[in-house]
Order: sequence, then C-alpha cells, then structure tokens
Amino acid sequence: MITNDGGSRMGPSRGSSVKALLIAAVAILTLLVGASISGAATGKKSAVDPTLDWAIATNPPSLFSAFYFGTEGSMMFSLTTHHILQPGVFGQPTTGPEAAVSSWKAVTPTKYVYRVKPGIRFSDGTTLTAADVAFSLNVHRNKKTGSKMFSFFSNVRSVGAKGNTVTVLLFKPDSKWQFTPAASPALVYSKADYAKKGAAFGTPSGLPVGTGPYKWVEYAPNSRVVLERNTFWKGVKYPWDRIVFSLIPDANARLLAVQSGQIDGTFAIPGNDIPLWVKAPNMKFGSFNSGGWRGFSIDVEDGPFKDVNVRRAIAYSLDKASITEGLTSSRGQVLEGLPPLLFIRGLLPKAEVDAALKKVPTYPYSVDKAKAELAKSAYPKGFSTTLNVPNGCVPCLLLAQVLQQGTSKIGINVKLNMMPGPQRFQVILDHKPNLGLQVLGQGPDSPHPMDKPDLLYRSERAAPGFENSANYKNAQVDKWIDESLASSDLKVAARNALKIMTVVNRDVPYIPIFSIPGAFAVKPGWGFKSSLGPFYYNQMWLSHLVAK
Amino acid sequence: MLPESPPQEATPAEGAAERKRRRWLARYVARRLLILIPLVFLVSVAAFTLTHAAPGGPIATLLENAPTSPEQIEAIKEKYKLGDPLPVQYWDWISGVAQGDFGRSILTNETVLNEITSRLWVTLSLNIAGIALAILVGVPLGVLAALRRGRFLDRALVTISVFFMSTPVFALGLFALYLFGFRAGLFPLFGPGEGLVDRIHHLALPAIVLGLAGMGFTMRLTRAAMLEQFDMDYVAFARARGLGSFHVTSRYAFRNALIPVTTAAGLLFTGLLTGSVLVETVFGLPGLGTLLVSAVTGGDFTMVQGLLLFIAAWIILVNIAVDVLYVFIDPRVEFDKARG
Repeated sequence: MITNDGGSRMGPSRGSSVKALLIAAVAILTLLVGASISGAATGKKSAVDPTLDWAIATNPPSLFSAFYFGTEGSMMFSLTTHHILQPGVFGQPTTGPEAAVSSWKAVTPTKYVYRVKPGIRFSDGTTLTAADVAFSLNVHRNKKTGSKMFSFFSNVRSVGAKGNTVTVLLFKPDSKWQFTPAASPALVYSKADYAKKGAAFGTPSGLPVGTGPYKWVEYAPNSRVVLERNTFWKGVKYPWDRIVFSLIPDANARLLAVQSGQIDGTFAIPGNDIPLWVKAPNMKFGSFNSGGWRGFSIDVEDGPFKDVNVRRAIAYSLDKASITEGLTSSRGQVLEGLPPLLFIRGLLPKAEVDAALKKVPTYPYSVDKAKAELAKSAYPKGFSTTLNVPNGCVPCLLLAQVLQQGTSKIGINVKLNMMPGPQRFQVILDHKPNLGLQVLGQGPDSPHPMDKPDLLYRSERAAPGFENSANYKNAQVDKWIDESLASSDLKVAARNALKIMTVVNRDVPYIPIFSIPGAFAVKPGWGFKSSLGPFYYNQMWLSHLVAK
Repeated sequence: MLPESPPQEATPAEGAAERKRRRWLARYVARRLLILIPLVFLVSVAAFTLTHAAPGGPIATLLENAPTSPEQIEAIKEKYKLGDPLPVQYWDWISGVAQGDFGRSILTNETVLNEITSRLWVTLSLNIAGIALAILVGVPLGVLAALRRGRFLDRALVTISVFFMSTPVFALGLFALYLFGFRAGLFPLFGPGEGLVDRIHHLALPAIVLGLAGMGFTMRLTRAAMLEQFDMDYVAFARARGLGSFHVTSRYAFRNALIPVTTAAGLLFTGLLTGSVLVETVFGLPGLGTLLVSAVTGGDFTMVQGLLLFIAAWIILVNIAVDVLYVFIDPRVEFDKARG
C-alpha cells in the first residue's frame, strides 16, 4: 500500500532493517566505550606510588623564569633550581641548604657581595660557578631578554663575578634588594647550557639544566610538566622519584581529580570556590595567608573621584566583613590598609603596632555615613561611572558586583565593563582612557614593608607604564618610602609603613578589602607539617608535605 | 534511476563521458586549490590587522602580575619589533610564513609551527572520532526516526537530538566527567595519556561528548532529508512497482538524502573545532582549542595569526572535500556546475 506520509507504514521487511540499524548504532557505542574501558586503569594510585601527581591551573608558558612569572611557575622552579638565597617562611633571606650562596653581605648600602657554595652541580654534572650566578642575573637585566623580572633589576648598576664571589652594585640604596635573591624564582642558570640552547631555552626542545633536587624531563605545554630526581643533588632526598604537574584548567574537573585520587594535591583553588572545596569529601583542605590583597583603586584625578568625600563615601558603602566572609569563606582577613599587617607585625612590638593602628582612619560599613560623606561632596545626588572588570577573574567580578550593589544604595550607579584581562591591564599601564575605579588583586613580591607602598603610592609611578592606578601623589609619602628604602633597618620601613597607612587611608586612593587566602587540597591523610607562608612557592614546599 | 538493469560494458560514448567527467573533476579541484592562495592571503591580512588592532596586546600579557616600568615596556616593544610600522611588521611576518617560518610564540618562545603540529593530533583525533560517532550513530537514528515518523520512537529520538543539540558542550562534558569519570571510574579525568591504548582511553570520553553534540544535529538533518525524499514521486513510484522498503530506503531515498548529510558532515568538521575548544578545556587536553584560547587571552599575536591561517586553510580544504564528495554522491552536480 502506498501512502503519502513518507513511508511511515512500512511492511514487515522494514522492521528487520530498523532492527539492523539500531543494532549497528548500539554496537558502535559499545565498541567505543568498550575500547575505552579495556585501556589502562583509570588512574587510582597505589598507596606507595613514587610519583607525586600535582594539579596546576594555568598553562606553563615556558620553563625559563624570564617568561614564567607566577606562583605555579615558582613552585616548580623551587624544585629544580637553587635560589641565590633561601627564603624563610616570610621570604626573609637565609643561607640554608637550598641557597646557592654560603654567605652574603651589604658592604655598603649600594654594594652586595655573595659567596657561592662549592660543589653544587647542575643536572648535567657541571659545577655551578659564581660566573653562572652573575650571568643569570644579567640575563634578566638584559633588555633583549624581555624578562618579566626586569623591573626587579632596574636599580642594579652592575653584576660581576670574581672567583667564587658575585658582586651586585646598585645605583642608589634600596633595602628591598636584599630580598630579591630570595624572593625571585629561578635566578640560577648554567651559562653554558643557556648558550647551547639559545632561543629554544625553556621550550620543550630546550629543557634547562638546574641544580635542585629534581630535573626537568618533560614539558608538554597545555598538558603537563614532569620532573625526576637530579642524581647530582646532595641535599635531602624527598620520597618521590617523579613529580608530574598536570594542567587541569577547569576548577570543577580539578576538584573531581583530587577527590578521585587521580591527583595527590593542588594549590590551585579559586578563592570564590573555597566553600565548595571545604565541604568536598575524600580530600583534605587547608588554607593560609598568602599575603596578597584584593580591593579597588580610585583615580584621584578623575571626575567625581577627585573629591575625597566621594572616595570616603564609597569606602563606607562597602561591608568588608560580609564581603570577606562571602568571597573567601572567612579564610581571608579584612584589610584596613596596605601593606598587609603580616609584613609589619613581625618587625615591631605588638603594642607599638596596635597604638599606631589606632591613628589609622577606617571606614566601617555604614550607609548613613556613606550618604553623609556624599552629601558633603560636589555630587550629593550621586553619579554614574564605569568599572572595568577583567573577565577571566571571577573574584574580581564578584567584588565588582558587591561594589555595584553597595554604591547603588547611596546613588552612585556603577556600570560593569567586562574586558579581557590583558586589555584591562593595558588601561592601567596606559593610564587612559580613564582609570576611574579599578578592581585589583595582587600577591606580594617581597616581604619588605614598602613592597606595595613603593609600587602603588609613589608619585613618580602615577604615570603611564606604572601601576599607581589611583594617580596618587603625596610628597610626604614619597619621603617616607625613600627613607625606608635607604635604611637597612627594616623597623624604619615598618614604622613608616604605618605612618603611610594613616595618610593614605585619610585620602582613600585605594580601598583594600581582604587578604587573599592561599589554599591547598591533598589526599585524605596528607597534609603540610607546618603552616605555609605567603612565599610557600619559593620554598622547598615538598619538605613540608606529609604523605601517607 | 529506474528501472534497474544488469551491468553492461561501457559504450565508447560512455567512456568518453567518463574521461570528460574525470578531467572536469581534476580541473575543478585544481581551481578550488588555486583559490586557496588568495583566500589564505586575505585571511592573513585580516588576521594580522585584527590581532594588532585589538586592544591589550602582548605587553599587558607579558607584564601582568609583575611590577612594571616604562623602560621594561620599551624593551618588550623593541624585542618584538612592535614599534615598526604595521606594513613592515606584516611583511616581516608573511615573508617568513612563505618560507615556512610562522615565527615564535610570544608567550612560550617556541616556534608557532611546532606548537601547532604538536597539538594537532589531539584535536584531529577528537574531531575524527567525534564526527565518526555523529555520523555513524546520528545518520542511522535519523533514518530510523524518519521511518517511524510521528510515532513514539520518532518523538523519543527527536527529543534526544534536541537535548544534545541544545546542551552546551562544556556542560555535557562536565556531566560526563562526573558520571563516567568520577562516579563510575570508567575514564580518566584529565590529560591526553601516554601510549596508544592509554591515549584512546583518555580521548574516548571527550570524543563521545563531542560526538554526541554533533550527533543531535546529524540526526535531525538526516530525518528531515529522509522525510523530504519519502514525499517524492519517485519513492511512491518505486513502492508502486513493488520494491521492498529496505531497497527503497537504502538505495533510493537514503542516497538522495546524502547531499545535505554530507554538507552537515562538512559543517561538523569545522563546527566541532569550536566545540573542541570547550571539551579540551574541561578535559585538560593539549589541543589546538586550548592553544587558541591561551593565545587569544594571552595576546600572543604571532600564535593567533598562525592558528587563524591554519584554521582558515582547514575550513577551505574541508569545503573542497565536501564539494568533491557531492560529485561522487550525485553525478548531476557535475553537469549543473559545468553549465554554470
């Protein structure tokens, strides 16, 4: 029988063809799944696995520290190269077993001399010399290298080697320099190896040789980095023969990987995901103070923000305690100023710090006070403005939304402008088209109390190419920063930091909200022997890791 | 097409026609390949102009999270010749490309060609497996749905296809990862694996996810194409002549429905490239998708330019292959084109 419905009433033979098609489809699916299951095991590790599997969240762009500047890179470099000086828990320079030098001295405020330890060998068997150390520092200083660490060396006049000593001459006294050889990762390379590998240095075809307990054996960009024992390492031997850093960009996939046991641990826990990780079963979560901060800058030269009452009104409109609780699961700490007190308290008596802090203006959350401040300004009825938000940064977006909500209560209408991260950072570097409000998040580069004040408050840095995105200028603050850097006594810097905090908080060019918590997740039963510090990635973090 | 006759020796006239057809096909492929050159050139100009016109760029990327200074910015500009006029920069780049040198990645310092070729296998494996799944499962199910039009099975299959078409591939990926990777423990959760068997094991789940997304599309398209053919007079005539339904479906209706299905396969081959960006990210796979994402977000313009050229060539070649397939599937296509 012929119908006009496209053959929906087929005869008996149709049934068999349908069955055949169905069977074929099911067979293909089964084949695919079956082939998969018949493959290797799904990766659950045995109890005595000599391989440590660690997850990272960002693609390692290079194994040359000039192009890989960040906590995950430093975490790997710390295992593969000596630091010139071994950083302590708070980044303080020491000459411990993981330092390449046995002693160091500031001969004058502008002359530093380092004595290189004898017998340190690279993973190719060659011996580390003072010439290698001087060469490594000069590579980062060289404009042609394009190193991300170039700025750390902008005050260095020369670096030279003679015998087993390395001499660094500065243009002007800078007490921050003492931390650079400890706080900067991977400053020890082999001059011969660098010359041999040329442009390929740090790429998959040019793995650098290093002096650390492990050596690079595989670098698959966008996938993983593999380390194995450096047989020439003379220090403490760690339990793992092999360390695999696997890239798992998606945070949910990373969480599943740790829970499933396919990954032993990770430091890559997004701040806004902490509540999820804290509650996740089959793993252990921990957090620590990273020394970083999140908050806002306000361009003091831009439109309504020129008015200090407007800036204070914004500060009052932000409920820092609730924001910190919500965005960090109470793992972060409310910040009333910069630098974070973590870098001051260790240098001065508690009573002195507490007394100084009483003088620091603060802006506890109060819509009424915010409205009152705005009423005193030239914009009593509020205004509209735009806040640039780097679209890859979820905590930045959340913080921006919180600000949007808070300021809307006092009549300041903030429109969020989502931008790619680099594009947003370019606005800060160019200081145009207008800086206005910017959402910021930064980690510490050094434990020196002037680390952030020098970067963010100095008047000469209120210009294109620098990061004073508030365009803040204050001659007295500049004087305190200079005095602190010129003095080798860090107590001077700490006291000046508290004075600066008092002045800056009065002017409100920046509104720090909370300290960024560092976090880790490891297998059940694993953990870290002692609390990790803000520069954990620069230390031999493996020595703190306890694995069952 | 009807009626069928036993095979016969080709007549001289038929032999000449066949030779003419082959010559035409060769000329056609050569012509399409020649068009590739100006097309790729245009893409290169567009890629270069757009990547340089986009705000942000490599300086901000290279310096993000690091303390900066104007001196450092100048050093980077000098290193990457960013201060040269754009036409000079373009000439430097395109003359290198003509000699097989696509430059070095700004982010990794590795050659662009090495970066692309080292990741090609992941994306290609995912796409080929995904397309195979989409076609080998999607087409039979589409035919099945058409055969059962309006019935429960048809409705169920249409619902399934809509589900897979409308579910974002990353959501499908995360769901599959949780269910089959984490809960059932059947598949690894990340990475490309080592060795053939392990790699198949690692790529199977992402390939299935990618394939399911394409399967919904293929199934819908096949169903629609088959229904259209079932409504044609020649199908009614064939049935009137008493030909079996399997014969009518497989030899006549299905073959004529293949043209839109082939177009869909071509689209899948280019469309899945986009899908693989998300799948590669979810499953932590080092393919071209993740490379493109890191290059774009990182302002790595040499890499973006290289990848855009590569992807453009990929799409053009797939389209040429699809056009050639048309000729084999339906000989009438040749004559239409010849007349055109």
